[in-house]
Amino acid sequence: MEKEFYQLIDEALAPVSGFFSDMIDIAGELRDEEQGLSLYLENMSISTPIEMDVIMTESGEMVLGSAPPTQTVETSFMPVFHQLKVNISLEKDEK
Amino acid sequence: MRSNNQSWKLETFIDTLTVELDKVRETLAVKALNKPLTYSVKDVELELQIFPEFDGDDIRFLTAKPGQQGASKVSLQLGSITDRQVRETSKAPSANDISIEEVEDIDQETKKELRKIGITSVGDLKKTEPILKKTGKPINYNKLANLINRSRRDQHAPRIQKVSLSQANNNRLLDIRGEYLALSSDFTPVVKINNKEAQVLEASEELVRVIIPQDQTLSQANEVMIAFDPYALYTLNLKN
Repeated sequence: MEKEFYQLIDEALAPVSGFFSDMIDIAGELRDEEQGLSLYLENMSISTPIEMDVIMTESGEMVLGSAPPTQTVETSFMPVFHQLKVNISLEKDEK
Repeated sequence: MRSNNQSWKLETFIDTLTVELDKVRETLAVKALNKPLTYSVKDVELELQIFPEFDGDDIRFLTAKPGQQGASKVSLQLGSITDRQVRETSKAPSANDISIEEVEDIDQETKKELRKIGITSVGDLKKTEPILKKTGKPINYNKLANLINRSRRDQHAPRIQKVSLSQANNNRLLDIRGEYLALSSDFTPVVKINNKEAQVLEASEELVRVIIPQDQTLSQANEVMIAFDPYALYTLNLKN
């Protein structure tokens, strides 16, 4: 059922969960073994315009799709850009 | 491009966005098993281009589409919330309380009105009723209270387990024992023995004690009618 709903999203966009998952799929570690140095990313802030699809199904469910701008060259009808800011931080192991 | 741009409620949008973010968290939880460094979304700020609509009851939004001018901006900020914060800001429903949602006789419109003012349970309603009456909200609280009491009664119907006769201070007493007998503190049970009203001496959830009138003679078959409250009327046939 969920997949069916996601199919309603414009093909240029992705489900919001997929978009966010891709956005935070970061290696996060910079390592120089020769120098014996290792750095890791602790926080990151992303601010980006996005395109967004807000779809209401006949059964009253909402489906959200989003993607970074699919078009950057100005034409007579530009897509509507919403603004997204996401703060990402490293998950600390609390064990 | 699709043209069926339908309006939506902010509540639905936030719920859907939250579900999507939960899915991200679940994906991350799996990833965390295999990767030494994993990242999580701490907060999200979203500024949407929308057209608000008001239909006299609800505010709904239409997402701006290409070529549309004059859209408004609505800015949402979602922060992550810890288990501790959830516990601090949520009230645990008590065992005796009833959720307004469970009371079938209350129409959706009234439930919505109650939800808007933060009333989600019968306990909430009881606490706030005196204040609400003064605010003149268009809700019939007496009718509501009756519906709730009836619902409570439906969930806890009286169970009579034992009926016995005894004697005390020259009075003949009829003891009705069981569970969920007299639940309402605002209503004293009414008992009629062979169609004659009898005085109720004591009424609790487990016991209703009645004085049998002096002039009442008990025949071989006696009819005892008990109204524990307006929603629970019992008739017992007692043989002497």
